Amino acid sequence: MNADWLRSGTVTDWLRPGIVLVSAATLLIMIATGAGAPWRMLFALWFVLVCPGLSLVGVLGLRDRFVELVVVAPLSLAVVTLTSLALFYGGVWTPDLEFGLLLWLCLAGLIWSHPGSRRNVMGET
Amino acid sequence: MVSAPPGTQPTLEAAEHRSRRTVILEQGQYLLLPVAALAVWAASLPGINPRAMNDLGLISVLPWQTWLAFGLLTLGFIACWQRADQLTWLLVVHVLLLVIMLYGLPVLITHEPSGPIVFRHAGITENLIRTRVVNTRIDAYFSWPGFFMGLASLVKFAGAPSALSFATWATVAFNLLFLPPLLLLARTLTRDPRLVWGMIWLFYAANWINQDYLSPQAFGYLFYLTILGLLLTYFRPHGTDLDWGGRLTRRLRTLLRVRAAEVPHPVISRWPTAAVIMLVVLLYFATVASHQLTPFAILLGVTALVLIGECTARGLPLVMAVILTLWITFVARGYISGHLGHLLGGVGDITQAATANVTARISGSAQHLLVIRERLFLSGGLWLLALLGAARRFRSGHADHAAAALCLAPLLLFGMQAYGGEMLLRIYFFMLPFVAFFATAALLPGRRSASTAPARLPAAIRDHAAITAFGLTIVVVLAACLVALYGNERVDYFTPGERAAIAFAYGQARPGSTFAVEQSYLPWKYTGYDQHHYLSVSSMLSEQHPPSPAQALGRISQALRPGPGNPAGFVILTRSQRIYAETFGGLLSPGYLARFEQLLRKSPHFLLVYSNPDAKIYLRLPG
Repeated sequence: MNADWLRSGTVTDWLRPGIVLVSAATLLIMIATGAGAPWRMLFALWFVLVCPGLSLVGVLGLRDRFVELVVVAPLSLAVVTLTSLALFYGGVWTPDLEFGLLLWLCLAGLIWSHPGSRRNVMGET
Repeated sequence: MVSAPPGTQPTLEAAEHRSRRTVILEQGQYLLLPVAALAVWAASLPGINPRAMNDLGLISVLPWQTWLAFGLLTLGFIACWQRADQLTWLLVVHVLLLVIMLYGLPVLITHEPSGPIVFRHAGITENLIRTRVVNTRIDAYFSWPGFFMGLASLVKFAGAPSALSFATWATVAFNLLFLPPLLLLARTLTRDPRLVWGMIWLFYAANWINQDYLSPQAFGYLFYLTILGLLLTYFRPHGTDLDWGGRLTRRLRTLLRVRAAEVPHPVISRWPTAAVIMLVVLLYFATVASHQLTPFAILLGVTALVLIGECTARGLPLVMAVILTLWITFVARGYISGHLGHLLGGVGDITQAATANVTARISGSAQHLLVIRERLFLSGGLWLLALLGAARRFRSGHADHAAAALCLAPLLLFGMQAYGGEMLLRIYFFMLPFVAFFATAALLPGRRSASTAPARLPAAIRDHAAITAFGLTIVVVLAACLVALYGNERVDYFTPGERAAIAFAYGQARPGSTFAVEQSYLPWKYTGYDQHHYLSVSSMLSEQHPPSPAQALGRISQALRPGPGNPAGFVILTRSQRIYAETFGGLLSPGYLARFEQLLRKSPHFLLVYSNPDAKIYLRLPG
């Protein structure tokens, strides 16, 4: 077995959205049901470290899987920090609003970076 | 296309299957040492008693099995490092184990976050969650609150009681997060896998300065590494880019003999180039909002790269300087205007910086002095080795100007501010990846060009000599790091009894009450950050006319006296405060503490309301 499946369009096209959507949905359910430690802590940490970065890294068009992997966590943390910053200084920070905003950003990033939509938006294939 | 003759396909597949099995079995042998190291390390943990530590720190209670475990891991790493071009995944395994074993050891022994600062960070986060307002009047942290705001969101998403839930394993987590950008950086500096992995190992084995806990500086450091890695990946110069700039810049590059980098950088179109710049700016903005010092280190590094022509994003330093200035002018204005004299007072004063960073820190008990001297030898030795490596690399024609610039740029921070006597530590941290790069390079066999004389020794012998030198060096560095890294653990260790006492105090105290201590070194301020006043005897002793124990108690008694709008205060005595005085010395001597505590016990104004073997709490009575 080799890593060709990683490079094939079909799998990678859906891998990122799959990871992000499943992670976000799981955390959403945990928050809604009031689930406690340790699983919710682990999922929240995973979400904050991975999901925003994984959604948005495709937008950058880096074409280098390793650099993309490097960037995921710092980009995620920067997005979470800056959205929190904006909401706090705007005087409207609540955890729910922050989570909602992050979900929308993830969704926007996934839509923008998905090959189908990129053809439309950026004229690239 | 020519198809394979019938019958040959299964034979080829079988051969491929066999060879893959051989490779797996062969590489699997390299797992024996790390697995053994992990097993020995894990088995050694239950026997370690943190209460028995002396001023040498955790190493004073480490059994020989723990040392053996680190030895086995290092041996395993050296075995894989020899074939670094083929055994990448095994090197990753070794580095991950090093991070877990080295940085996870104190956590598994004490089960608590180390040191008082992390408790304060939890308190700032709690304040933001509770008030949802950024009150810059509380202290400097609230002028750079980005990290704490992100942490507040994480705490709420996780449904955790406080940020302390994440603090225990934060050091391990941050060091794991540093690995990918470190690899990216290393990949931009060299194509030699042995140099890459030697650099990574040395980075972790020499990172003794304890700035990787749940803190804005650890958070900012991740961005520091990522920004530099991205710039060196995507913005290295082509040959013609080096002709850019005015006469002075070109002369500087000629003087330094700057050439295009050895590692080819990817050619990307305009959109990804713009996107990487936007990403760098985004990461920088998050750093500026989170930490006072790291943005300056990044700015210095990027400016140095641009000046020597190693970064083609020439407008970036200006953009970064504008972001930094805007933040300081508009957001951190409250803090800056109140402390301008203090902040600018030390600029350019190298003597003051040297006193605060070196001379003033060499104090304490005999065992602690041993640890301090060992740290100085470790750091100095590594810097000397790096200097040797840099000389070797440049003499053998490598274009390592970027690494050299990034190694030297943080030194400019030294004269900027004493930073509470911690500036040298931070500089060491910012330099460390590049110091580790050059230090490893010092131990590798040099490259020989056709014009130079033939080697005096055969290649095989030179290679063995390099492996032996590298092996011995990393064994010595790791052993020295265990002493340096764990050297403060006796002071930083807070027992469950101390934690329980502080929880009791917060449970009893009403908003507005004052907590008085001997030394501000205890697990406090994690809740009600803005709701209480704090007072310490050690701060009184730094005044021009230090009070006697009786006078100090009198002042505390006055400050804690209950009255209208002033709830009764508490005096908190803990084991860690006494240990701090014993280890670090200073004005608050054990004799002073003994007298102070004797007077407190006899005072009719104070009532002992809580006591366990590690802590006592006295309530100030009315009158």
